[in-house]
Amino acid sequence: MMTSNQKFIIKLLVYLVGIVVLFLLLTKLTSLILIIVLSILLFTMLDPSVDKLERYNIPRGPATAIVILSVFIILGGVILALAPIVKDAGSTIVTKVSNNSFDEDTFRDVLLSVNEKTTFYDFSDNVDKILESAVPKIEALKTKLGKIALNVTFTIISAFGNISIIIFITFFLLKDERALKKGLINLIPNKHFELSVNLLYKIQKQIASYLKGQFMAATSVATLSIIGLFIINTFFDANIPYFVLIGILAGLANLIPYVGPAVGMAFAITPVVFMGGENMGLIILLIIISFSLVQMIDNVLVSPIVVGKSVDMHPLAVFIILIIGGSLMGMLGMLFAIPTAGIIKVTASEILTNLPKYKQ
Amino acid sequence: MKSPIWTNIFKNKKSKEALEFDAIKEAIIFQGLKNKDLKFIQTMVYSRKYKNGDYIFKKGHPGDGMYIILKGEVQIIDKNNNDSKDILLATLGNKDFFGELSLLDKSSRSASALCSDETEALGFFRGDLLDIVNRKPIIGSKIVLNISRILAERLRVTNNKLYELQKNIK
Repeated sequence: MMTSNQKFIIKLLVYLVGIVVLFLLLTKLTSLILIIVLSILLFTMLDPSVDKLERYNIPRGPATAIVILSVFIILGGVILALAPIVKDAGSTIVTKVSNNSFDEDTFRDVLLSVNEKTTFYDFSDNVDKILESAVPKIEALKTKLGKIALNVTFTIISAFGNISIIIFITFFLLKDERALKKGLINLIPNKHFELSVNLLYKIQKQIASYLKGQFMAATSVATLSIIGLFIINTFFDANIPYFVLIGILAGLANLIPYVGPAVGMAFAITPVVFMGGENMGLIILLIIISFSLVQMIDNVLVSPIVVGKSVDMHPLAVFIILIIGGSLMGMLGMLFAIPTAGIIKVTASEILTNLPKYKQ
Repeated sequence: MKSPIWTNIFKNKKSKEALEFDAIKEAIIFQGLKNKDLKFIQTMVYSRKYKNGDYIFKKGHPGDGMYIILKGEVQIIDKNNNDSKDILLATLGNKDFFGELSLLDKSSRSASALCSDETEALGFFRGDLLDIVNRKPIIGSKIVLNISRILAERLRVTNNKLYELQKNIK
């Protein structure tokens, strides 16, 4: 007969082996897990829309088809709108690089003119150093251009493939939501049945509430960014192209806290840099000011009300979680860090609060 | 007598789905719902199997939902305050339901549900009721109205008992 200590050691070993196997599997199946996680998030995002359609007596299947079709239309619209920008930017880069317009003298002139307009910092002494490190990299870039173009094409094709898989999975998650939930709950023993049903409901509620908050914050950032860019265009004759689209992208980028706002700003600054022009510095400064104002409004007014309530976490905790997410999975990790932490928090709190009550 | 070889012996044997549907149809809280709506409810309930002697829930557990008995027998029991012995409050059988009050509030279970036979039951939970209210408000309001009727009936019975007690004390 085994003593309780031996039993405990065996149990501990089994758990340890389980954790190691799980970790190995996770590292091997990262892309598949990512696809499933993205599908679940998309499902949670679209589920309220399917529910709304069900309220009008539309059966679940057709309601799901309508919502997925709408997603395809919106996605198609965004791709059609983005295509000319990407094409323009791509051809500008290709033309500039292949025409050797990035030669040392032109680059020096650009740097000196930027230095002239920058009143708060003088880097004229460092221009040669910057050229010394940048020119070889640009030369190397020229030779790699073909390879990069090919890689970009493959990435776009594989992204389309992954998006199709995500939408396919999301369709079935939406359509057979109840059957899948029942199937999952059926696996759980009677002892933990009620706790699991309750936990699943709370997790769904938490994700839905987080996404709703994020969606509202993204909408507000997008609207304010569009207004800001419109003002810069109208009153300062900036001619920033596709400013509505840039605003929408800035709103979407805002989904990633801390990094998102900078990415959003980059969306607006990039076309201005490519266009060049006399008042380029001023326009960039105005973009920075307007996006900072948008962020201030978002951080002071919108986020604390809508997003803060949805995750109920201290800003420092949010910051640390984002760093962990970023270091584990990069930008995507940052995007999913907060909802994942939210799920862990709900699970832990539910288990700690209710499990002892079930053990009575 | 018909030969079993030439008789469809499965003819009268209802499928599990049909049994579930019948049990849902007969539960008071789903009264007044159309067959189509009952089919929808069927997608929201969880079927569970319990052995003789298993507890479906115990007194003091968080109350999250109700159960409809599909097959078997369940005893609703409570502990006596003085000697901690089990007191049998009710014995429930096929198509009976219990725990419906926890669909409305989050208070803990007031008694334990113990299976006194191999039992199959359907669980219907508060989260799902809220989901129905959100997704199909007409169905949701009918269910809530039925629960209110049950509560009103119980309140009436309790009031009568209280009145009788007061009369006896006087």
